[in-house]
Amino acid sequence: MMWSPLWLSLRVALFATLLGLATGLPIAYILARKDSPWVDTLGALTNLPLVLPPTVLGYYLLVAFGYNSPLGRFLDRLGIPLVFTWRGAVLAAWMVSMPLIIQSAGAAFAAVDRELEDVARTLGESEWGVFWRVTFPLARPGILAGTLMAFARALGDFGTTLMVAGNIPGRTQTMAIAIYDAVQMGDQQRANALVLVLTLTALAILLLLRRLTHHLPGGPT
Amino acid sequence: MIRVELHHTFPDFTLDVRFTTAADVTVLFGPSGVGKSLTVRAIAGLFTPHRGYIQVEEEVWLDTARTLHIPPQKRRVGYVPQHYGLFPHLTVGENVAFGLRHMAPGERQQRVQEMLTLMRLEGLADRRPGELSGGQQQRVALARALVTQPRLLLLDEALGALDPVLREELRETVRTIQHRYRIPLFLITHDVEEAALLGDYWIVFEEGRVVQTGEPGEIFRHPATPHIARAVGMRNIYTGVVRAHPAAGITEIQWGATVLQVERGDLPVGRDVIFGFRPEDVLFVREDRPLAHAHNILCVRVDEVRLVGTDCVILLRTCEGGERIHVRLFPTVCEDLRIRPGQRRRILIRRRAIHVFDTAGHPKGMG
Repeated sequence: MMWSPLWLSLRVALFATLLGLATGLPIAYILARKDSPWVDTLGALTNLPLVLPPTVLGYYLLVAFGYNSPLGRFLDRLGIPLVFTWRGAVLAAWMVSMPLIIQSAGAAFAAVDRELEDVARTLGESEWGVFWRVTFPLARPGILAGTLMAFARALGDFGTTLMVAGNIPGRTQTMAIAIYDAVQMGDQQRANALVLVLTLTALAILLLLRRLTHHLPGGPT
Repeated sequence: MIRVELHHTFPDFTLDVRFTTAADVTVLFGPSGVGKSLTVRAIAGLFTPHRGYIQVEEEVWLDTARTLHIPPQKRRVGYVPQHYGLFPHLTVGENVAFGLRHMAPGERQQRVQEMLTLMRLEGLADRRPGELSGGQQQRVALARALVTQPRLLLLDEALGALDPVLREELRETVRTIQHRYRIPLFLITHDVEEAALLGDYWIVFEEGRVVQTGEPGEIFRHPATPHIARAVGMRNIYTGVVRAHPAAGITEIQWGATVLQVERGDLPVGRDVIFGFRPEDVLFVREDRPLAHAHNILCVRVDEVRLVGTDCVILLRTCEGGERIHVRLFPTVCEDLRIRPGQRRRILIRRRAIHVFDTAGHPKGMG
C-alpha cells in the first residue's frame, strides 16, 4: 500500500513529461524564433498554468474533458475516459509541468547562435537537419534541465490532479494525494514514510539536474 | 564573373548595391554598418533583399523580378562569419566533415584528413573548437568551407584580429587556396592593410552604397571621395581654385598663396576643387643639387619629426598660409636628409602625385 502511490506517481510523471516534451518543444521553438502578437499571446497562455491556482486548472480540465463535454463523452465511448482515471492525472500533471519545459527550452533555443545555423545551411544542410544537427544539440542542456524540472513538478502535483483524477487508492491516488489522505486519516507513520520517499526522490532529481547542467559539454555559447 | 545588384529598405537603413567582379580576391571595404555583411549574406542566400539580382558565372542565384531564389543549401558557397561560426559541440574533424554528410564514410574521412593537412591542423581532429587558438579556429573554419569545394568563398571579417605574423601566414594560406582550388574569394574588411595585402579588386562601401570599385593601387592613388581618401591614408586634403591651363593636360590650382600644377586638362578656370596627395609622395628638395624644374616647390617649416612603427612621420606647415602637411618617409631617408623640428625647408610634390577629386558624392568609376 505504501509503494503503490509512488509507482503511480512515477508513471504519471513520466507520461506527463513525455507529453510535455512533445507539445512543449515545438511551442518553445516558436516562442524563441518567431515574433508576432500571436506568438506573444501564445507565450502568455503557456505561462498561465504557473500562476493560476491548481483548482482553476483542474476546473478547466474537468470542463474540457468531463462527462458533460462532447470531448469527454467521445473519449468515454472510445473506452479511454480521462476524468477519475490515471490518464486524468497525467493530463493534470502535463498541464502544470509543461510551462517549465517551455521556459527552459525556449531560453535554450533563443541562446543558440543563429550564425551557426546559417553556416550549416551554406554547408548544404536542410532546415530539418539544421535543427537536429545544430540547434537541438546546442539547446540540449537547457532542454534537459527543463525536462527534469517538469518531471519533478509533475511528480509533486496535488491540486489539479485531485480535481481531475480524484482520490481513488490504487488507481488515482498519487504520492501527494496519499500524503494528504494519510494526514486526514491521522496515520502519521504512513504520512512520514510517504513524505520521506517523495522528498528523497525530488532531491535525487535535483542532484541529477545539477550534474547535467554543470557537466554537459557543448552548452550554448 | 560575379554580378550583384541588391536593393533593400530597412526603417533606418537603405542598402543599394551594384557591382560586378571577376577578380580572384574581391575585397568589400568600408567601416562597419555600411552593408558589407548584408551583401555577403545575400550572396550566400541567407538574406533576401526586396529587389535583387545575383549571378555567378552562368548561374543565376537570385532574380526577384522572376521570383527566383536559390536557397543557401543549393548555392554551394563557403561562408565563414566574423567569429568563424564553428560548431562548439562538435570536434574539429566533425566540424570539417559537416558538409560531407552525403559522402561515403571512407571517402569523407580521406577528404577531411587531406584538408586538415593542407590547413596545418594535423593532430587536432579530436579537439573541440574551444580548445584551439584563434589562428587554428580560423583555419578550421576555412577547412570546413573549402572541403565542400564551393563555387565561391565568402569571408566576413574572418581574417582580421590577428597579429602581423599570423596575417602574413594567412596570406600564404589564401594564395594556396587560390592556386589549388581556383575559387573566387570575397573578403569583408575595414582594415586598409588587410584589404591592400589580400585584395585584387576593391568594392568600397559607404552608408549602404558602393562608392568606388577598382584595383587597390588605383584607389590608393585616385580615391573617389575625400572620405575614401582618408580611409586609404591620403592624409593631405585641401581646397583650391582652378587658376589656369599653362599647357595641354596641365592645370594650375591656386592654393592659398601657392600655385600647384596637376595633370588634369578638364577643369574649368575658376572652379573650386578639392585635391589631395599621399604622405609618401612628398619629396624634400636637396639644396646641394640643382632642381629639375621650378613648379610645385613649396616653402615649409618643420613642426615635428617622429618615428611611428617602421616609418618616419613628419608634420610640416607651409610658410605662406600655414597649411599642415603630413609626410611619411623611410627612417633612413629621414636621417639622410637631416630633418629637424624648427627647420625651414623646401618640398616638392610631383604633378602626378596630386589627385583632384571630382565633385564629392559623385565618384567616377561607378557603373
